[in-house]
Amino acid sequence: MRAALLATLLALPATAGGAEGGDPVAAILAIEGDAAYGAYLGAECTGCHREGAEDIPAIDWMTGEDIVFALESYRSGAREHQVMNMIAARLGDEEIAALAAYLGAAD
Amino acid sequence: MDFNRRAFIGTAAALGATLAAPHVRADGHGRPRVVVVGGGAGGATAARYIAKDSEGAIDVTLIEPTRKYYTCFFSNLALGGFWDMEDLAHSYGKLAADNGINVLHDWAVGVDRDAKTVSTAGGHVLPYDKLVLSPGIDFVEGAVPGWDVSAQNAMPHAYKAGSQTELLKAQVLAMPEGGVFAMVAPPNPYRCPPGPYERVSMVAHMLREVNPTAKILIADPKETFSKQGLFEQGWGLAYPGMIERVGPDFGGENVEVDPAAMTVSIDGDVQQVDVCNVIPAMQAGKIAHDAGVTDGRWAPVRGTDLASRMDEDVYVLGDAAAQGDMPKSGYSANSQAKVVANAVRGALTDARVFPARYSNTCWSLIDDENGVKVGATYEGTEEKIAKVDGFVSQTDETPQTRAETFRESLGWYAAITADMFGATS
Repeated sequence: MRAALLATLLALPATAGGAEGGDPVAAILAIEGDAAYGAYLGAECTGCHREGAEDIPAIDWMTGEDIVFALESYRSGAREHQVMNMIAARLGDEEIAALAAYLGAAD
Repeated sequence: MDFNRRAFIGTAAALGATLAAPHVRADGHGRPRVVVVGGGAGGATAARYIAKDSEGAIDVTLIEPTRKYYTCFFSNLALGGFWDMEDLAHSYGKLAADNGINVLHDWAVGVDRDAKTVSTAGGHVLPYDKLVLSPGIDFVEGAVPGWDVSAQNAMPHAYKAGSQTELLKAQVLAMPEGGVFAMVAPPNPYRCPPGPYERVSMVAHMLREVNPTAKILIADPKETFSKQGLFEQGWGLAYPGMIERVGPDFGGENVEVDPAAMTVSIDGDVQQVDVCNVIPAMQAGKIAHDAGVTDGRWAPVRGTDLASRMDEDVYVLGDAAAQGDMPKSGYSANSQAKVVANAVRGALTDARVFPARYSNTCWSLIDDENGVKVGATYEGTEEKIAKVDGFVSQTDETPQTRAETFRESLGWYAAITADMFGATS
């Protein structure tokens, strides 16, 4: 289950979406995330995502890099989901880095 | 008795966390005290997040009369035969055991904002440094001529989940063949904007199975309603000829009922009905009025932190608040509670405070595996909670998309109730 999800995520192209061009995922990964800010922002996630779930996929297994990749893919529109596209649209690079620092499980 | 035992559990749990606790702005009386009134999506979430994230540094008391809480959201699914009532039921045990919250099953009956105390029907007087009010809604007396709360057994509102939901379901099942189910829909603003129309869908779903010649009549004071295009298209496809809505153009705002005679008068036209679901106009729950933090029907609050416009030490969230652009929904209350929790911790401890951000999604079920949704994000401004961006399901979606939306709604229910009451896994 986890491997399959990760494979799906990683198979997606990293489309450009950052303001400065280049690889937006790499740009976010270069930021040291503010975990306390991430804890506050992450409370928005737990209203829908829960451990072990598949209907709304669990996110607790994801690494910080997985989080960055997924959120950037929703923000750029490379992955489509009405709720997640809307949620990610107002996340800046700092916010995504903060969420990755807080939520990232296996780093 | 029960309160004392729980208070002891809460204190004992908190002691273990004292070493790691954040620095506290104590006011000469030990740990700062927060009282939360109302254990729904707003209050339970606020209590849990304040207690959890302050790691015992704040003493949190949650006042909620019911020991078993039935969520209003998804109660239409019980009405439609998709869920059992017990699927909607939750208890507060984990909030006490895991988060050290003093859960007091009692009615809050008074707030003294000068003395900063809350009094309860059971005789407790609870001091607070910050008060969080999340009392939900009450009905406006006289809103539907002929109806008052004493008529709720003859003509149920079923807009607070529990016995009213069961009663309305039993009445639908007892309708004579080809009978009439009437709904008196509420004016804006009210709890759960798509709720009445999801309810019509669920009643139609039930009637299609057991009483397919029955009719549904909606008297509606509103020109338009939430997800209207989606509902009307869905009704035409799934329940053709069953549902008629009378809007204000045809007298839908000029309604009287007679619960003894089981009649509904729409613009003077008196009709005999078999079931009548009266959903009256709404206002903030009574304790918000008693506390003196309402202006008219609702409690005005700042968009940045949901602090009352009348009192910096009182926060009002969820359905009771006049906050701006967010719909009155369980999801909204849960989202607002996290902003309130952050603001309260910032005021009472050295916790960092971050800019308010909110979101909401409302899912509705039209028919088997046919779910739709509407959602938006919001930011806090001094003036109000202001909408940033949003979406709504489309009328031309595939059955697969609708089925995915329904499954997503089930996932949301499991997640938000775990977020309110503590994880059950």
